[in-house]
Amino acid sequence: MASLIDLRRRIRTVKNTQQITKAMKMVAAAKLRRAQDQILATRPYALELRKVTEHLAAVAAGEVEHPLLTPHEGEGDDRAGSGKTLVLVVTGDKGLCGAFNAHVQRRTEQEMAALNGGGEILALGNRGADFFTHRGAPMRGARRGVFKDLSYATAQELAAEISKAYADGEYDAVYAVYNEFISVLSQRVSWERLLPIAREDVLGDESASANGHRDYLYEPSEAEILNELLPRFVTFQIYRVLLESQAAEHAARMTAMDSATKNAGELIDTLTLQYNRSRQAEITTELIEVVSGANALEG
Amino acid sequence: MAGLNLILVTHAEKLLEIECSDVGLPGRKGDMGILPGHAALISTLRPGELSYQPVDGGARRFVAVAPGFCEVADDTVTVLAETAEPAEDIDAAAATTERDELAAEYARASFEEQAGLKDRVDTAQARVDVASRA
Repeated sequence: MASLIDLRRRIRTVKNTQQITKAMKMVAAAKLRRAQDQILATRPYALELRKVTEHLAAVAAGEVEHPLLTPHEGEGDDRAGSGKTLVLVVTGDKGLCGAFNAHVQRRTEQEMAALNGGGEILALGNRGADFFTHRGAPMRGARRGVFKDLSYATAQELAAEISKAYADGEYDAVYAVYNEFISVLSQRVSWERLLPIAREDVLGDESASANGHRDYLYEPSEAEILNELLPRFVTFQIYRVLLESQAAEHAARMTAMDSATKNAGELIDTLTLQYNRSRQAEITTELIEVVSGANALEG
Repeated sequence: MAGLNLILVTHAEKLLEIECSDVGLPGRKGDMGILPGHAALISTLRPGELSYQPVDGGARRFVAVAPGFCEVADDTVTVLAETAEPAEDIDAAAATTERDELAAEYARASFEEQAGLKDRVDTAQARVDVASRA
């Protein structure tokens, strides 16, 4: 049995760890709140963006041809099929957040296997960057530290790079794998197509919006407006993906650290019980020794 | 008198929702003045100066907007901009420095790069212009 001193030391160690996990949990909770606020703050923009695109849909849908809308494998398309797919892998910059990063990595590997070597990874966040570089997966590149200071500019820069690569015919499609924030307790790994933009995504249900559609003046033309709007749509999608992932990461870390704190608490309880038992056993032994010594003298 | 309802939204927040008597917008093809009763309109905006006259009096107010869109319908002007800053929030000196730096970068850039920089230069210029109105 471990000596009393050893036990005391272990209890102290576990208590220190518990303090750290507790602090991390609280930090994550605070950051989560901020991340959630950021998501909520994008809602009005998202709503308005959708509204305007849907208005345009009714009038311009048939005439609009935009590189970001057109799939590459159309007949007579001279850009047809590079056969490659870009996968945007969104992980966190840090660990200690449960299975958050592992889930995304596993899903990415599955999808990459399904693409039969036609996939290339653009890793966002240190974790995914390290993981896939280490594995020697086909990479387009990696961005580290994106979540340290996440801003719309990051999304703009990414969107510009990706859209250009797509329009130049480097890739047939662009997908994103990321953790979707569902609630504090649950995140879902989501596999989403960013490009080509699905017509129904931007343009909504044509027949439905055509009914309520009014006569607008367009400046410049409907098609030109839509063309300016689509790149923004992509940027906004990427921004949303990053925000979701950020919130999900903090939520995952909060949950992970919460259970770590609880586990530490349980361990402390067990150890304390063990400690008290051995202490008592020692006292009892000493008492028996004293009593039996006294008895021997009397006898 | 019936006013115009101006709603200014950026990706990060709803910046304004206010009743005004008229709104000036930097349209892609030229400035537009919107008065109550304007026909329904959808337009793209260039980086520039948005101005409005609050209906409850006071001075005309100015906001620097980066490119975006606007929708006018039923006396409601909805503006979506990538960034928007009211004149009084802009640090004029910093804006001028930024504009000068970008302008220098623009002058050095190749023709292809200039296309990418154009909006940023215009945005910086708009911030300087608007700052001077505060």
